[in-house]
Amino acid sequence: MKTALLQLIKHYWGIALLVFAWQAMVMVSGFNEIVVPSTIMVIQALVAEPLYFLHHSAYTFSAAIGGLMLGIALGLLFASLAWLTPVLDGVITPATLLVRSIPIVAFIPIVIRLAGYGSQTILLVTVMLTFFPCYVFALTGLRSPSKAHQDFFASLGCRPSGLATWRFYWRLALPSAVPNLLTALRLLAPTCVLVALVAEFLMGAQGLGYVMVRARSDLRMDVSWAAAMLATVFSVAFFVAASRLEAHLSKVWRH
Amino acid sequence: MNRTSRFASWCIGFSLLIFFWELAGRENWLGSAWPSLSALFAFMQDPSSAALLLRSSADTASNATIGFLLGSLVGFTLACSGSVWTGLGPGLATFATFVNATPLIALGPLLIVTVGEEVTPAATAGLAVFFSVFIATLSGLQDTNRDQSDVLSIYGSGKIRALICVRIPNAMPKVMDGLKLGTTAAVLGAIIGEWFGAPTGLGVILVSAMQNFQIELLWASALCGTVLSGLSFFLLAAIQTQFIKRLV
Repeated sequence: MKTALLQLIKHYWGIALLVFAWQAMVMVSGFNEIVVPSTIMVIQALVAEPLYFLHHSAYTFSAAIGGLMLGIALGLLFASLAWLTPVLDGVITPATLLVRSIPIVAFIPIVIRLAGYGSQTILLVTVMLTFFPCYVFALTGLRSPSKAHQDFFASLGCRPSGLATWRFYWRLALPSAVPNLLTALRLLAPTCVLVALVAEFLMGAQGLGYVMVRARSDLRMDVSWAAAMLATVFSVAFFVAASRLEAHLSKVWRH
Repeated sequence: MNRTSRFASWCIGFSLLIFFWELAGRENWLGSAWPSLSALFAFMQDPSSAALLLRSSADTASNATIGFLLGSLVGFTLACSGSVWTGLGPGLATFATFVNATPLIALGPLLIVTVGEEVTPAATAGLAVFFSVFIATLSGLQDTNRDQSDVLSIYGSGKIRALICVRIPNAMPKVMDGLKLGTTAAVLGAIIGEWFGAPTGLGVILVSAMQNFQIELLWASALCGTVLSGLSFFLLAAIQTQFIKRLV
């Protein structure tokens, strides 16, 4: 019991300090409740309207996760096509370089103008953001089988050419790409949540990002902070889940 | 594929991109929110809009720079102290993961109140930089090889001396990598921070152009943001190569 508590302190003192600093700021600064809500007020706001928060969180996270999955699927699809036809790679790779140097979050206002105010925009931005890294990760993964593996497959008559291509892809190239895709998932998980929140923040229709703006203009700072806190907790949980999945599956995959 | 054919296919890819962009803009394939490249450049050359873009870019650049300096300083210091007092390590790592996974936009309401609307862009930029520098420094500091630390302990060097004389110089290449990644994060962080009611900057004109349907201004300011983050990345990359040349 005591060691468990010590472990808890050892790992979470930073976050505890943050909450403490927040409460201390409320008490010392003597700001009005409208300016800085206290910890208790924020929790009360959360408990008072659980369904309201649940609805908007569900909206935000289904958009973020849906976009991430779609981006990964498309990235893998195009990487597979590029693996088959090098010419396609020659067209996509420059675009990848170009897009990688673009701060996509800064382009969200443009996407909103192009695609309209709605959940399709969130999906589009998350796909834009995730597609190119996933493509690069998947393609490196598809090309990663070692010479020894390739020789072994070749000795069984399975080469990446002609009729055997499909089998080679399914049995060797695709499994080699899985760990890379999991890494992509971990790296992109928090970014997707951020993008969904930013889009909602700018569009102002639904979701936690919208709640943050709306509550602020209604001077309900406790609600605004509660939405921000909820978004943070979900985003951290999403990231931790993705890294656990990566650690677990890559261990299983190697054996 | 050899080098020339790779280069050729890249050129084809780029030209196709530019061609279809121009065509889509002229023919309104993607609606009126997609300008042709020629119209966009004409707009950017116009003196009044050029002045606005330049001024906003300069403001965003200064916010990003302040955030970059502060964020990297804090990240570096925290990583160093985490590696000297090893007891702090796990807590610091959890804290850094937490900061990384925290959506910057969720901190907006908090930052406006605590540091004010004008400082918020620099603060968000700093937070964005913090994580990459912290992780890079931490992993660089762990790289010290066995022989070096043996020599240090034989001569009775203290932890802090070992840190300054051996481990930090050893960590510098990785720290530079972290800083390089941090530059683009800083520009993005500054733009996000400016959406929370900052008086000036690229983020401000991005949002107002979006709301007022000023398509050319919208694209031009996004383009300025891209150029800014690209430039800062190349600047740091150049510093890094110079630095490594000196080191070796």
